[in-house]
Amino acid sequence: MSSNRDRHWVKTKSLTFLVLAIWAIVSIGINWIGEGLNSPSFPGAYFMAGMGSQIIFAILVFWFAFRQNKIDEEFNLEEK
Amino acid sequence: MLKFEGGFISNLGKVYGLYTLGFFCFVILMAILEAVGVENTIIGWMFVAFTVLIYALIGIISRTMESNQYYVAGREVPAVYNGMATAADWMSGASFIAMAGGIYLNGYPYMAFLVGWTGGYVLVASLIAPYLRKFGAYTVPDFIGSRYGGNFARFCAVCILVVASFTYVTAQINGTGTVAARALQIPFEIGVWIGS
Repeated sequence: MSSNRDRHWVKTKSLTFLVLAIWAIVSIGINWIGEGLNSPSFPGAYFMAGMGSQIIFAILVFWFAFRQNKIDEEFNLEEK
Repeated sequence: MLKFEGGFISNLGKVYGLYTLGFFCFVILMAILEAVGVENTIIGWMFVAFTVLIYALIGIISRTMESNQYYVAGREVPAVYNGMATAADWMSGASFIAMAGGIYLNGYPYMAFLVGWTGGYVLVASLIAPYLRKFGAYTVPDFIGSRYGGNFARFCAVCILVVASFTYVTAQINGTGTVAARALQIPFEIGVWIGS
């Protein structure tokens, strides 16, 4: 049982780190290079701050919940 | 007449549908009244009265004395409805009034709020929410205090929480006051009291 929990935690942890990495890239990284996204025809920095990152965040939350559910089910730790 | 058999939770869909229907009916009624030529002030008062009435009604219907019911509704609310409540938190006075105004006033740098605001939900979803739920704690300081042991950790959590929610509530109350003052045609200072 203990090893089952351990393996569950390893998978959960790697998923969390992945989500955090995407979060850092989208929230900090993209705005760091914001100027580079601008082109004469399309204000990329403005779009990413106003809409793009929000869409990515929303999808990320749903995807995280879906993946975590899958992991929980794989190790029989899901909520009944 | 609609029948509500079983508990409140098993009828959530019906209750939410009814509420949404009532809201649409109210908006249509207001539109008709405005077209007929009722004064703006009266419509404003009706809006506020309706909101207060609904809040009071919900409070009376779902009142409870158990802390498990009070904080988390017995942990029985389905995920979709919980998500709807969270979304309503996002779309509050602070984001509708304060953030729009801030971006309008100060331009591009203020959009950092937009990113941080929504990005915070990712952090909450991945770092706090699953463990809070599995832990069975009601509040974040509760969770932090038991998880890391000792009152110092709990104190830090309380401090951060108070600072954050104080800022947030200030913006929120300010927004409510502005809306109430506009809708009821009264001074802002009184609007804040009525609104909150």
